[in-house]
Parts: sequence; C-alpha cells; structure tokens
Amino acid sequence: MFAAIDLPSWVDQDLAMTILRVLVILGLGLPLARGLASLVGRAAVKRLSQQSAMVAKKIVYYASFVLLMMMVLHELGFHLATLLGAAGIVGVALGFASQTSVSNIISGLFLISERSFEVGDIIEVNGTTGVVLSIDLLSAKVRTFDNRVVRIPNETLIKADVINYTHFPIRRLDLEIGVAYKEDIARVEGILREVADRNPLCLDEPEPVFIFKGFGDSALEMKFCVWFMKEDILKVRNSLLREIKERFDVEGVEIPFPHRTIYTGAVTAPFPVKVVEDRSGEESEP
Amino acid sequence: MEQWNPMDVAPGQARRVDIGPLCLWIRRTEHEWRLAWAGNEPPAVRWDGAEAQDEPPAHAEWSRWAAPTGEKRIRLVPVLPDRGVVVRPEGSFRISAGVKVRLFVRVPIWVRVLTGDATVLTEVSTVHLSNTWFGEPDAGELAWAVKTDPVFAAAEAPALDHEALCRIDLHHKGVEQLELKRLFLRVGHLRVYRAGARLWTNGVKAVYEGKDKVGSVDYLKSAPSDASGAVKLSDEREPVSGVLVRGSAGLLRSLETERFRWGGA
Repeated sequence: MFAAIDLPSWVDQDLAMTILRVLVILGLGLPLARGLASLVGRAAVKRLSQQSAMVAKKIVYYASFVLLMMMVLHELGFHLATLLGAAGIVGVALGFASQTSVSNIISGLFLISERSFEVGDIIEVNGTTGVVLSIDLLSAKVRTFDNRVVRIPNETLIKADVINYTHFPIRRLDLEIGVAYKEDIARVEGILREVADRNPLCLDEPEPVFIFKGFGDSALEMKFCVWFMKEDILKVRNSLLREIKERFDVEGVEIPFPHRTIYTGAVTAPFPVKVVEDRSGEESEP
Repeated sequence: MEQWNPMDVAPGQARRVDIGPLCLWIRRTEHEWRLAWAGNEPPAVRWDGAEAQDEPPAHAEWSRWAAPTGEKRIRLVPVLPDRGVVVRPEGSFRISAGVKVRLFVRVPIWVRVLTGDATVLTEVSTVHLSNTWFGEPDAGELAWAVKTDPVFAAAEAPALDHEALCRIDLHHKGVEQLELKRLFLRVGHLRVYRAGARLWTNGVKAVYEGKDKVGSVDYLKSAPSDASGAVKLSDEREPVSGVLVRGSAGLLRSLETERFRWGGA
C-alpha cells in the first residue's frame, strides 16, 4: 500500500515509508491500546473490585504500549535481541540512577498485591486522611475531606503505618465520658445504653461496651463504645453526643469540668481574707 | 384491615390512615400526591398525639410526588422490611436436642404506597427499627433488630395491624441443647397474607444440625395452615427458585434453602 505513494525525488523513499509506517502504528495503536484498556476496565469492574479493575486496565494499557514500542523499534530497524541485551546494561545504570522510582514501582506492586487498602477506602497516612482516588505506578492519590489531592509515594505507603477506616463494614465509636463523683455509675451506664438503644444508627449488635476507667482528677471517667455502619460515622457521632448531653440534662447527671482549689498553708483552712481598712462608714464619691 | 383496600382521594381531599403506631396522611392536590407520616420515629421524638388529627405534626414533613391529572386511586400494601431481621427473644430460650418446635415470630411490616397504576410512591416503616449486625465484625450482614418473643401458638401473639406473624417449624437435629439467642430471618423471601384480623407471612421450615454445621431453611410458597382463608397481599422482595433436590441424608435441600444461622454469644 505504502509503495504506491509517489514521493518527490529528494525524499529518501525508504525513510519516508518507515516514518509513515511508524506513524500508522502509533496513530492506530495508541487509541486502540487505550480503547482496549478501557474495555477491559469496564468489563473487570463488573466482576472485580474497583481497584482490581484499575490494575487490570493499566496492565492491558502498559502491555499494549510496550508491544507498540517493540513494533516501532522493529520498523526503525532495531534488532530486539540486541536491544534487550543493551536494555539489561542500561537497566542497571538506570536502576542506580532512579532508585526512588524503582522503589516506588516495586512498592506499588506490593501495595496492590497486599490489598491493605483499595480505591475508595478512607485511609490515614502520616497525618493525612482522605479517600483513595488511585494507586498508580509511583504513588497513590488521596483526596482529603477539604477537597485537596495529596500524592503519597508508594514507598512511603509501604514504610508508614496506614490506617484504613473503611476496610470492615462496621466500626466502633469510642466516647470518653466523665461524670461528677456524686453520680451513680450503674445509673449512668443504664442511661448511656438506653440512648444508644434509641439511636437507630447504633447497631444493636455487637452490643455497646461500657468501661468504667477510673477516678479522674475531676470526674468519674468512663468509656462508652458503640458500633455502627462505617458510612454513618458523622451522623452517629453528632447524634449520639447530642442525645447523651440532652439525656444527661434531663436526668440531672452532671458533666463536670476541671475544678481547682487553692490552699494557703493548712490543707483544709479557708483562704485567709483580712480587712485592712474599714471604709464602710464613708460616703461614696459623687 | 380496611386500610389495605384501595381508596380514592380526589384533588383537594385528604385522608389519614392509622396502622399500628404509624399515622399516614395522604393528600391529593391538583398535580401532586402528598404524604406525611408520624409515629414511627425513635422514642426521643415520638409523636404522642393519640387523638386523631387531620394535620400531621410539625416535624413530619410532606413528601411530594407529581401525579397525572385525574388519578385519584391510592393503595396501601403491607410488605416486609427491606433487609433481614434479627429476632432477639427477650429472655433465654432453649430447645432440647431432637425436638421439633413450632414458633410464631412477629415481624413489623412496612407500608408500600402505590398509585392506581401500581406506581410505588414510597415505603414507610410502621415502627422504629434499629440497625443491627448479624455476623462477625469483619464479615456479616446488616439487618433490622426486632425484639419480640417467639410464642408457641398463634393465639398467644396479639393480632396487630402493623405486624405479620411468621410460623417457623424448627427441627433441632443437633445433639446439644440449643439456646436460641438470635434468629436471623431473611424476610425478603417472605410474602404477606391477610387472614381474618391478622397478617401472616408464608411459613418457614428450618433444620438445625448443630453448632458449626450447615442447617437449612425452606421458605414455603404458601401461608401456613393456621391462616385459613389467607389472601395474598404482597409478594416477596427476593423470589427464590423452587428446584428441589433430596440429599442422601434425607435433608430436603433446594435452591431456596440456605444456611440457617443461629447466633451465639
């Protein structure tokens, strides 16, 4: 087909044909690779998780891309066997030069295989909390709740402690509650359980957990833990805290604040106040 | 039970329907259906206006649907909740090994509101239901919590407008005494029938083989014999296939049979 094209005499016929073939390969191949990857991604998302579908899509795209590059190099007259041999040497050199990138790529593979988090999960890494948008070749993109995107290198994710808040379907909310020393602990526990029982978002089971932690500086300290569906975190936290406060107010349960008593000298003696001049008889200034 | 009969609400008219604790107001305007409900909230905000009121309380907002001109027919249908329910008996309940028992469990219903052409407007729970989890913290199923005591005879259960009675025939084939702490009922496989003044579901047959063994549950295709003259009011949400296979051990298994899970502590 290409031989039929009539070119001016000053153009090298072979070179022009080669360039044309390369352009055709790339021009058709790249959109085809993208299309194929997209097709695989769409098919995979029906059967696999979002994360796995994204990985499948990327594998197809990069494999197609490598195949295209090999075809282009072949067209340009490179012998693949020689090229691969040279690539080994170049690879060693590049490896030394790009240790971080290689480390990120390998870490990325571990992250994907380990599946400690996936696209759509809410994670916390080094103080950054957000929704995982993607796990790419070099980094993971996380969207924070104030709508910023944080790029976290895969190597960091492998090394750091990653908290996945949405791995399991249900979670526990731990509330630290302090009540005045005069309160009956059993009664407070009963009130808390009743509040949780009436809150439709608090799971009946696993049952709420009540822990009397001890005697604090200014309050009887207790922990009340309720379970909820992971997506209800904000609703549960807001509604439960409000309901506990309202119920404590109704029941007359005191939530104390820190008290400070200042003594001078003897522990139980009152604070000494001494009148130095009695001016009560004087008329006030106009 | 006349609340389940179709009713006509002409433009400018309103109706109030009481189903157990649920009060449902239906209003027809020229171009809309409007619905408001109260009484099914958590106790903290429960509306306690026991006397009939023509207007819903302030906290019950009207929900609105566009309606074709001339449509005035509306129908309420009792359906079972949209998730499985975990029935938690109020006291300790034990079944000895080898015993066959017949239990009746009360399940709160939802009300499906349909227009004349069977378009579903909404579904409203008649009572306040709490979320609960059936399974382990790392794997399980979200369900509704129901705290009612199973009874041994239908007559022992009160006939309430907002509850359907489910008959469960349980054969305890295990060797140890079974302490029934939770009963997970996939109500999506259950239909609602009306028989006299009571609502019924189709019957359930369950076989318990023992702890950590797979038992079976068969959701039958008809109302139990206790519900004589039963008329079906609604279908199951998740129909199950009825292909039956008999296993070598004589256990009746089918595609509609599934693992029956009995919760432990």
